[in-house]
Amino acid sequence: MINSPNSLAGGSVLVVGGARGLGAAVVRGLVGVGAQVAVIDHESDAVEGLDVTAGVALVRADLRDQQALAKAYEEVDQLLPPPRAVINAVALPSGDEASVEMTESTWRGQVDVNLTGIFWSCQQAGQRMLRRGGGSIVNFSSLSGIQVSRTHRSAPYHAAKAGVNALTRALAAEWGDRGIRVNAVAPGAFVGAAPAGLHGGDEERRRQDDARLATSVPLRRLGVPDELVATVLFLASDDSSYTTGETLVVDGGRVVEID
Amino acid sequence: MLDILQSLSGRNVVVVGGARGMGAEIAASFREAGSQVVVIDRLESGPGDTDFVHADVADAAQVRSAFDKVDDVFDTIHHVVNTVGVAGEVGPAELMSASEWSSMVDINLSGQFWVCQEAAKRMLPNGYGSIVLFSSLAGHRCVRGQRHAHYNATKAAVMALGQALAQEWGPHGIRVNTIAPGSHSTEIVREMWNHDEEALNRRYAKAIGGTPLGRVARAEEVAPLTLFLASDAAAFITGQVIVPDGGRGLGFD
Repeated sequence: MINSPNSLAGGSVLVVGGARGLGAAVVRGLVGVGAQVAVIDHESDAVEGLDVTAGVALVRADLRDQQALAKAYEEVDQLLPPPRAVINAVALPSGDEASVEMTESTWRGQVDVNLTGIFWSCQQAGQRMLRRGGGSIVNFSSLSGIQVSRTHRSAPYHAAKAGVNALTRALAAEWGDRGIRVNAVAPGAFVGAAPAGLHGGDEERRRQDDARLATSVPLRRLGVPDELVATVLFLASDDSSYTTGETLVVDGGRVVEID
Repeated sequence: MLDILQSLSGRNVVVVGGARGMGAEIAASFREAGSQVVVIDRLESGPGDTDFVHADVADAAQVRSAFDKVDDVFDTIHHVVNTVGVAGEVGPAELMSASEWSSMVDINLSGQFWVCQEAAKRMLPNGYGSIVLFSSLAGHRCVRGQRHAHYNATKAAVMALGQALAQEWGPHGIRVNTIAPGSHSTEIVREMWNHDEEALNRRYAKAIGGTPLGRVARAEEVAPLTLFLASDAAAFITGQVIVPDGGRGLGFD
C-alpha cells in the first residue's frame, strides 16, 4: 500500500512504458497519490488494471525514434502541465539467446529500446525540466545491469541496462545544477510481472522459475508490484530530494548471494 | 611461475584498432613477445603492420568479412583485443542529435559485440581463446564538466557485455576481460576536446591533481596489462574489469 500524499499530489507525471506490467502498476500508484498522469507506450489502448474514469491520457509512440518520441511528448504537452517527474518504465525483455548466433536485428532490437529509447525519453524530459527549473527522472534498469543472469543469456540486455545505469549517473551530473535529479531502479522478480518473452510462453517453466526464486532469494519470496512502486514514487517525489545518480536495487536480496 | 611473454610466443593474435595509439602499442608488444599479429582497422596500416585488414567495426558485415580475411592468415585465433573506441562530440545531452548518439553506440558498443562474435565463432570449436575489450573509467565515473553522456553509457555497456560473454563462453574455454583506462595522452583525448590545447591542459591539470600517481598514462603503458590478460598467466581471470587510472577514480572531493 502506498502511503501518504507527497510532492507528486496534484502535479503531472509522465510514465513511458506505462500501459502494462510494472509500468502500469506505477501509473496506478501515481493516480492513487493524486498525481495527474499521462502515458506514452508503443502499444495498447489502455492502461492495464486502471479504470478509464481515472483520466489517464495514453499517447502511442515508438521510443526508438527520436522524432517520434519528441512528437509524443508534444502531444502530452497539450494535455498536462510540464511534468515534475518522468518515469521510464522501459524494459524490453529478452529470451535466452546465445551470443554467437545472435542476429544483428536481435542485438539492435534490445539496444535500441532498452538503452537508446530511454536516452531519447530522458532528453525530452530533460528539455522540459530545464525550462521548468527542475524535476525528477526515474529510469528502469535491471539486475542485469549490475550482475550477470545465470538463467537468461542476453548480452545486449546486460549491456543496455549497464548503459542505463551510466546514463543515469551522467545525466544526474550534467543537469544537477539546474534542479533535475536522475535515478534508476533495478527490479528483481515480482509476482505477475515476469516479462512475456522470459519463459518463452512456457507456463510450467515460469512456475518453476518463480518457485526457485521464492526459496532462494534472501527474503524468500517474489516481490509484490506495490513494493517496486513505492521505491519509484520515493525517487520521483521530494522524499528523495538529495538522492541523484543512484540505481536502487529492489530484489529481495537476490543479487547479494551466490551458490 | 608462468612467463607471460613466453606463453604468447607463436600465438595468433588479432588487434582491432591497432593502427595507431594504444592499439598500435599493443600490436607492437604482442609482436615483441613472438606472437603473430593481424591488425584490423578502418585507418590505413602503420609501418609495422605486415598483416593488415581494413574494416569499420561499426558495420557488422565488414567485421565478418575482415575476420574471413584473417582466416586466410591464421588457421587458429588464440587472442583477440579490441581497442576501438571513439570520443564523440562533447555537448549537452538535451541537444544531442540522433546521428551523434547512434554513431557512438555503433562504434563503441555494437562494434565490440560483432568482434566478439567473430572471435568466438573461431575459438569455440577449439575450446580455447581469450578476448580483451576496451572500456573507460568514464563507464564508472563522470568527469565534472565533461558532457558526453553517450560515451559514458557505451563504456559502461561494454563492461557488462564483457561480463555477460565471460559467463556464457567460460564453459567453452574462452575468457573475456575488459580494460577501462583513465586519462591518457593519446589522439582520442585531443579529439574529445576538439583539439583546444588550452582547455585540454586545464583538463589535464585537474585530472592530474586528482590522480594519486600524479600523471596521465602513456599510450604504451596499457600494453603489459593487455598482454597479461590475454595470456595464460591470467588463465583463471575472466569477466573482470581492470581500471588502469593511476587511482584517479578512487576518491571523491
